[in-house]
Amino acid sequence: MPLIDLTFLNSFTGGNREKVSKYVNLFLQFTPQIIDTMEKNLGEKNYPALRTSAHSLKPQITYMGIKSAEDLIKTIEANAGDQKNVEQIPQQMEELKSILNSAIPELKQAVENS
Amino acid sequence: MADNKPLIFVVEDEMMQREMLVDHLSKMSHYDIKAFGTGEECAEAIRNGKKPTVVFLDFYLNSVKKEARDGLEILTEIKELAPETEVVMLSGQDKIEVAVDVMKYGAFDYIVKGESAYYRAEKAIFNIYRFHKMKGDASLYKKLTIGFAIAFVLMIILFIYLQQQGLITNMPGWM
Repeated sequence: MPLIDLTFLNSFTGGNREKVSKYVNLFLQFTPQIIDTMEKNLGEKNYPALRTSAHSLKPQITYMGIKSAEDLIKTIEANAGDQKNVEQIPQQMEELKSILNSAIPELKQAVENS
Repeated sequence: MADNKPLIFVVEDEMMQREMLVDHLSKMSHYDIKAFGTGEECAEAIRNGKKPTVVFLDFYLNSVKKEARDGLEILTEIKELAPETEVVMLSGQDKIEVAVDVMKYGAFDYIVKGESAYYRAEKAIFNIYRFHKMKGDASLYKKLTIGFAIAFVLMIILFIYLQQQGLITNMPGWM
């Protein structure tokens, strides 16, 4: 079952493949940096900064249609923001990275096919 | 030709979000859209004489540059520099208390980021133009009403004066 769903992006761009590629490539370019920042924030126990990074990644995951990561990023954002269940955040981060690592090749494939 | 188009600013530090909003609003070809990655750059443009009709302003502007000032600070500064400019706040937070806070700081509207945000941004522009038109109309009606009232009073004074001078003997029936 595919991890990504580009229905929204296709609708948003009116099927313009160039624009879909642009947005997907922006996601592919910046998401690893955001994940690195989140891990750094987590390592430093800087939960407000972790919350900010999760907050910025959240809508982008939605636009890429990575539904399995949507609730997870919201949970990380909420836990970091409220500083509750923080002991669960490392595991949640690992899950998130695993999902994104699987979604990224699909996104690259989608761009190549367009 | 571009100089005559109303100006819209987009202030968003996340590049993908910024590009998507600019691309979407640019489809509405009767606006001139300018994008900024920080609130400081936007405020500087306004200080340098730019007069945007609408500013779409991200709530969190420090996810890329940690030292950047946040959306509420920039909102306050924009309203001080350009009170007529309407600010629409964008955020991923779907919380009523955040929306209320933002409105207290002077924002015209609050949009939660997501799939429907782009349609709502279009609606916000439409609502702002309608609101400004209503304000303009109300101001015009007020001026007309005051004008008519003054004219009416002057007419009465004139009639009384003319009657006292004997130039007219019969006052109009309605007086």
